[in-house]
Amino acid sequence: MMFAGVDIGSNTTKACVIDEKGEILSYSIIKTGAKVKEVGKLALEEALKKVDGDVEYIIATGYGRNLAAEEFANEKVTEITCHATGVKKIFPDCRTVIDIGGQDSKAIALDENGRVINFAMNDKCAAGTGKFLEVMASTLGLTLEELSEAYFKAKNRVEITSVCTVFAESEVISLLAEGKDVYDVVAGVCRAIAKRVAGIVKQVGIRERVVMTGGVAKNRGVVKALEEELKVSISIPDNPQIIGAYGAALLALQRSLQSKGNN
Amino acid sequence: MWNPLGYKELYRSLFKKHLARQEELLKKGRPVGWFFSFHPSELIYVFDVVSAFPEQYSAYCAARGSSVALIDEAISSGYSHFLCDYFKTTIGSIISPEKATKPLMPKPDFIVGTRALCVAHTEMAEVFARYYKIPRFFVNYPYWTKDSLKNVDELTKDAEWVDEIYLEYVISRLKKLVEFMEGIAGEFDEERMREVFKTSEKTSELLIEILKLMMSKPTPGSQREIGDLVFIAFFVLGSDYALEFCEKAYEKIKERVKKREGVSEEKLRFLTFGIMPWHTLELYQYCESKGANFPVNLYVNASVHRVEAKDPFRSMAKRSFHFTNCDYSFLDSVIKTARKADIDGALLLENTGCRITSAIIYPLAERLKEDLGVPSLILEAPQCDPRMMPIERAKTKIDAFIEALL
Repeated sequence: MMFAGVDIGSNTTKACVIDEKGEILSYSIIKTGAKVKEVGKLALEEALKKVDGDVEYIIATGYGRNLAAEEFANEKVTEITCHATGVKKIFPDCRTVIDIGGQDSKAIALDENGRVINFAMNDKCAAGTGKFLEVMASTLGLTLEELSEAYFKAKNRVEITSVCTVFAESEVISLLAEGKDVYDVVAGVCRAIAKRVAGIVKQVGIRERVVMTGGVAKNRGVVKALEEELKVSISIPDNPQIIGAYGAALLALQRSLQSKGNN
Repeated sequence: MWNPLGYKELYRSLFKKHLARQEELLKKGRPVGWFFSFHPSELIYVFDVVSAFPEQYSAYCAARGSSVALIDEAISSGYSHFLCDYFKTTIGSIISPEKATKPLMPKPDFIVGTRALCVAHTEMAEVFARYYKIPRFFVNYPYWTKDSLKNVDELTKDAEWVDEIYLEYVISRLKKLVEFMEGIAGEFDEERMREVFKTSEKTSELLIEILKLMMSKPTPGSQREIGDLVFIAFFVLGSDYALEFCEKAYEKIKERVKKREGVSEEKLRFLTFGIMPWHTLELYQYCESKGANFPVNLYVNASVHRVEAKDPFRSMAKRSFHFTNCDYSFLDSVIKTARKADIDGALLLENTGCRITSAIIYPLAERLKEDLGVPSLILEAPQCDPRMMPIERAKTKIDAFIEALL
């Protein structure tokens, strides 16, 4: 018996298939693009290619959750609840989740049972998100992987003062034109994200263990800058990008068992 | 249309009568005054003047979709985007009336500004008065403290004790306002004042009863309907059509409470506060459709106060008794109301253009958490500019808040 979670995010769509014990059987990550209606199904089909059997219950999350629930998912749940559920399974002692996705930064406070007790999100600005990082990598002529490692090569970190992504891009160009070292500028970019996200995390309170999820958690530079800013150690799951989908799959398992219990 | 109380038809009839009155008085050549919230609306009917309300008109433009163009007009003219949405929308409608929702506000002959909750009212009145080169008057209400006002009931604004020195000051200003209006609209008629205040007293009693009934279980009405009570309580209190509306509205809500009919299948009860996002009132409906209803809206409560016909001037002065026009010790009265309404959470709306109502949001959330153990969801929700409030993000936050509470 299998259960699935599909997380349709602004940048990528993730599907995760689990068994009745909550173990991950397979997953997929594809670009979301413009066809939000189809992409969730495509990601799920991609994940299902790697396993045999039928999916019993599907939960959709992320920005495309409403469409997915209309099309193929049994239910929809917000990414806040899904990330909390996914993290709780991997790190039962987690009290603070930081999720940085394509356009979102979130901080989620959990109680000892893994229930969401508070959360905060960036409002209407993409600063402090994966999109900001993508724009900066492109301006600096680096891949996201190179950007991740460049943080550790900085000798004299510079400050990026602009909050707006577009103005920060101009600032980066100006700094490069001044002859600043690219690694020092990268460090400034990572610290700019860290400061922005730290402001959100402080709204819900920092309680250890702190776990980071979302695509940006794969960027070692940002994680390090955030650890320095928050003065805590941050745990990263093996595949941080699929935690929302994994949490959705775990909830699908729970709901399926509940509905059977009710029947 | 989300209209569980059936108030929409009543509002339509009220507006029709209000506009008919305006038209009739304009034909007679009566002077036009622009007024702001917390002004003593009864004087409009005592002096038989035509009234227009920049805040209400801006909310109307936001609900009808023209506020964005008007705000852009104001910004293009040099006004900062940080300013109050009501101000920008009104200025935009003055500069480019062709872009504004009709009917437009009639051009004013005088302006009455107030300094109660909103410190910007005086500035707005000044700007508009200079633009039209017309006289204006300010009613300067004091900022109440626990030394000047004691034991204020959040719903009725009745204070057990009020410092007479402060009250005398406000009454002296209101008497000056009467003199100012006499100079523009003709002699003050005391007998007419008594009549208007009798109507106002009955109307305010009914408004208070409606708000009390809203706290019933299950919550009988939607904020989409209750929100419009602000117009009645702030701007047309003292009119026959406001009384007529309230008599019918009270019967409707009483009937629903008797039958235990809720706005939706109630799972959660929320308190809400903050200027309502008039462009996206569907936000309340969105919550209500998920079983999260609003038995208390402190913003609506702020517009309602108990009128005492036997002492009109004292009654007008009491209009400024409100927790956002008082020091934060007055949050005690809010906690009492929240406890009475048996709430599970709060939806609090911040607003870049309104520092006064926004500054109290976090202290309010803290008190609700500390005293009642109730969590709050704080959303940024400008009153007239939907561009500053990505609705899908707001809905995600609401969904997550509800998931966490259920």
